[in-house]
Amino acid sequence: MTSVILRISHLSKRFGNMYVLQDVNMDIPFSKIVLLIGPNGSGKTTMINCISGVHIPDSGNIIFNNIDITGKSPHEIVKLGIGRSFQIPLPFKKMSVAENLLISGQNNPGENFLGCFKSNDWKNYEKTLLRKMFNILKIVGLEEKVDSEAGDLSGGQLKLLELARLLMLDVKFIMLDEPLGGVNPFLATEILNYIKKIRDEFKTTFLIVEHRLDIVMDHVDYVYLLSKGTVVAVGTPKDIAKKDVFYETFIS
Amino acid sequence: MIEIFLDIIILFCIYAIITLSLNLQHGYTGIFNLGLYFPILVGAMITAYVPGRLAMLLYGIDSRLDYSYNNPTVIDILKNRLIDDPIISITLLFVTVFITIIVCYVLGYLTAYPALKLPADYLALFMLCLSESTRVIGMQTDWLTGGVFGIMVINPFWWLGQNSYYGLSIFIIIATLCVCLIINKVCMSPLGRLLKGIRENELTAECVGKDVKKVKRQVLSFAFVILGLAGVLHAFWMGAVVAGGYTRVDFSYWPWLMMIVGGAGNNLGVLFGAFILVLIRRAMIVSKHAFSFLPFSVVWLEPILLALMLMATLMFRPEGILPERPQSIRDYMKKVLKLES
Amino acid sequence: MIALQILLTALIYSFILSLLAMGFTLQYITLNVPNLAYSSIAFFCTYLTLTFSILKFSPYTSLPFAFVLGGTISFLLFKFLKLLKEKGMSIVGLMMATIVFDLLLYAGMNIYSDYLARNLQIYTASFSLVEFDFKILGLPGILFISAGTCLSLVILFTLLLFKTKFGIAMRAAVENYALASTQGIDVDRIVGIAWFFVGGVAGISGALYPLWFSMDPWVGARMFITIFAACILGGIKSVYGSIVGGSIIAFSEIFLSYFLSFFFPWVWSYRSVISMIVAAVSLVKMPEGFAGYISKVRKGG
Repeated sequence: MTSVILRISHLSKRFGNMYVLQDVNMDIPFSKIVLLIGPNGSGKTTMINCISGVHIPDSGNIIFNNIDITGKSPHEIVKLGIGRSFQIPLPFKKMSVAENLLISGQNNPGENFLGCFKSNDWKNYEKTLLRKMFNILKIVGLEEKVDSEAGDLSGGQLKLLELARLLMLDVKFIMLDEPLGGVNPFLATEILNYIKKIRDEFKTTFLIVEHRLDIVMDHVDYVYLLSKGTVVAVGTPKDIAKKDVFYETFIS
Repeated sequence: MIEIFLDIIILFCIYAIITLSLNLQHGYTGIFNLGLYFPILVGAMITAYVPGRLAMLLYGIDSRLDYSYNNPTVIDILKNRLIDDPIISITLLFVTVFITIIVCYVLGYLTAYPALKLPADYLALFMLCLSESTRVIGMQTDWLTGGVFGIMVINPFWWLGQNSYYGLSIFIIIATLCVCLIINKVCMSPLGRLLKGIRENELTAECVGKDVKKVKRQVLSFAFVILGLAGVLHAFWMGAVVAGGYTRVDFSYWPWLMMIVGGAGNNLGVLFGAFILVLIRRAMIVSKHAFSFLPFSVVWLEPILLALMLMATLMFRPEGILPERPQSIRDYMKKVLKLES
Repeated sequence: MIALQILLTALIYSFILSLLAMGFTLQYITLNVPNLAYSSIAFFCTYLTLTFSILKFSPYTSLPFAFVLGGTISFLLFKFLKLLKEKGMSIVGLMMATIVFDLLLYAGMNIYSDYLARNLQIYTASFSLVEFDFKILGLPGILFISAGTCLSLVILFTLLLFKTKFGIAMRAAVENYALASTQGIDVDRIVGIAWFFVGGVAGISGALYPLWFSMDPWVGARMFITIFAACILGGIKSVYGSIVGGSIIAFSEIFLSYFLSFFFPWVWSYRSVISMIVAAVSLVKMPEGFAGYISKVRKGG
């Protein structure tokens, strides 16, 4: 019986008069890879936005590691240990890949108006950060692009940059919004294998939203099926694939 | 001859400080502040109020005389005292600077609360209106700034006798260098990188754990302090504070043009822009004989020139003469971190 | 009677201010660019009216010319903004473009003042054309003219917006510029006409101003603060809101400063600062202005 790292209870979110999420309940087990699937408009990205603090839910709550994070601002939630990527990548366009990653360093002593003058402190920190950055660049395969402006990267490379940025964050819970979009299948499998490695080595929990079920189903531990703002099925990939509702949801 | 040269240098110094502050706000952090002259005015107003009256207090000057309403008399008396008293003079200077720093910092923080809630275009308008309101106040308050006619201020370097103007100039140059060094430190540090990130995408910055609102407030406070300092220096340099002279054209639009022409986001570019435009403006004033055929004062050609240059830059080279470029990682490691591998 | 004077001032001020605030908001919502030159356009036309009265004509005869002048300047600005928008200019650049016009008008006003002073010995540091006004029933003509202009424009605007094809097209353009153009609506022509018209109304407002108030070269800058405050109070994107905002600001400025001047005689000169304070407070307490407040109340809190 694994413990639950994130518990979502009775979460609802509406925009205007339309309910995008209705009374959603989810338990994300610790150090597992959970897949969130559903047709377009089922509320998957809104769910991620609510958890990461970008949207404030209208009712219900979100408990992470026994802390109620409902309605907290995004930066507080990152500091508590949750990171997320964006469906359409949002890099710092005019900055280089290196700068994009270095910004993601947490607790950088040089990032405030007093600390920026204490150059010895932040120079040491930056050296460590750089080492970490180069490691991560190697893993995602963006070494060549270290000085390129993020705005010049291709779609797939931007996805990799999103992933790399998350890895810089040192968070225990990572939410990926369509991480494999525009990535070739070989690289996609590599990424998924790497995700499993991180899960095993660092006990990181993942919540992944993905459409490419053919590739992803083999690599995840649990699946939540979302349709029209509510959870309609939960289970292991094998269980889910057996349920009628799985096919009904996608065909209807 | 040296007077003209020095005049250009000092004007450049003051505009350099203003434009660097603007570059920090807009070029780096993306805060669209069109109302730069609010803190500049505050600095000037503090200079109009504090040193003269403090001096009067310290010397026990006849309290029937008012600094504002008997301004010429009081200034005369103070000059005679301060000419022999370098210590008090310098103290007055630093007290003024110190008070300006504190007041402008607080004002920056307070302004940030309503201002940063606004979308970019309305933020610009809000800051502009705030500045213009302050100017209106300045033009009406006789007791503070001498109202429409202005008020004279002491020269903290009278004790240098003949060389008081040079002494003040050297002080301004040193102050400018200090500001340049401080701003450079900020921009070369991880904070500078963070500010650019905030400019590029606030949401992403938030989602990598940065408290964007707090950082922007701090930027505004810091920038206000720098602008306030520019106001103090300008007031001392002019020898007087005329609130009506701090117009949106001279202290907001010209610095914006300097930043855009030089290259927003690039401190060197911005300084370059400031220098070129100060030269052009001075050249125009100096050559006003050439324009004497015009049936109006030549000063009104300045805003026209500004408008035309702004239009040309927007249409043909919006990124400026020295555009911003990201630093390569190798450069960063070598120059900033002093690493070899 | 002082009370009547104050009331008249407040009323005339609120009509003129509402006209200006309406126009500013309309330009803002059609192009999503706040027009920094707006106040300057209005008060540039004041100098046209001044010229008419120098030439011994009634200031009211300058109204149609002020309309054309204000409209033309506004239309030229619209064209310039369109050009820059096509080049992909950001909001910063677009506002800079309005500043270009603001500067040219600022220079123009001061050059003309200078010219009048040097060549014709006419000093425009402070002038008023109140004496050229006519009276109806003992009340100043400007009251009726400004009221009439304001009310008829509100009615015209409402009719236009909801009853004509032009209005529907304009509402579509405001909602979604790009989408409207794909529907076969010549959005540029419509917005261009709107800007011309609004500029013309600004010109008329500027022309009417000196018939009650005293005019000086800084009125444009001061009024800009007040117009901005009125729009903020009413709700940045609401035309009707800016009318409400304009009226409230106008009355507050006049009555509050009159009232406070009993205790603090210096307050009268700080009128526009009062608007600024009202705007700042409303931004913090009621960020969407009255328009937002009313729609929240409608939706049931």
